Amino acid sequence: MSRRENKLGILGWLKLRGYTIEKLMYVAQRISGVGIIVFLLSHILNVGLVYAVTGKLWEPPGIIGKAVLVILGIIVVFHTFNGVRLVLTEYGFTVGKPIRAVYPYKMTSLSGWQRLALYLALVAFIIILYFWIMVAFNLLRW
Amino acid sequence: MKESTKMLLHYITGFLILITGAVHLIANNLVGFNWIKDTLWYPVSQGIFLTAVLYHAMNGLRVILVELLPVSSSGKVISIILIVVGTIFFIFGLYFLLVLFGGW
Repeated sequence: MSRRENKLGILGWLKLRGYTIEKLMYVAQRISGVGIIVFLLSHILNVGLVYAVTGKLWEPPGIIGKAVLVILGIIVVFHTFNGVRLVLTEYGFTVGKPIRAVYPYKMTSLSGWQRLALYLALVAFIIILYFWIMVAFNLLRW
Repeated sequence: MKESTKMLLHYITGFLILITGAVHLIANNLVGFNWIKDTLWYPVSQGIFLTAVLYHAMNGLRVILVELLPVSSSGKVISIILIVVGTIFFIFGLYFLLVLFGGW
């Protein structure tokens, strides 16, 4: 593939009209992944340097730090569940068997178990999100 | 290394992150589970977490960049740059773990 064939580049991610929900999940997976990488690399540097200078372990700095951690938790949970769905799809566990192309056309790779796995990933995301917010705001006394 | 092998490693490290990342978050955020940090398993878990998360992150970035710059020569350059960046962060993180848990 040449550079010209992907001329939209990163803007191609934002082209959602006319695509299925899988395209939205693809974009969300990438954006959440990049967000996690930004946090991860800065976290490794930050924790190491704070410990080297002060001898203390890093604590989230105030309300903004805590808010960043809450948002990070949301992103991580989404990335995890959607990632599990993608692995299952890539190895063919949730992709239906090919069928003869007869009108009205049915996309077996985008319906059935694959679509169910997508909804399950979203439901699991919402459930874990609820517990994460409860833990983040000390609403669960564990 | 074949592309399929890189992606298989991506999924394996993803699974490892799921386990060791949960240990990291639980031990550091839930007061009732702070005892995990005193076990011998914890530093080992953190070492695995650091390794897995850096591979997963750098390979994920590689996939995005290779897709955005689909020229055959760019793949190798991107890979080399990301290996160097990943190694620097790995050495830094490992050194910190050794100071924290290994008494360096």
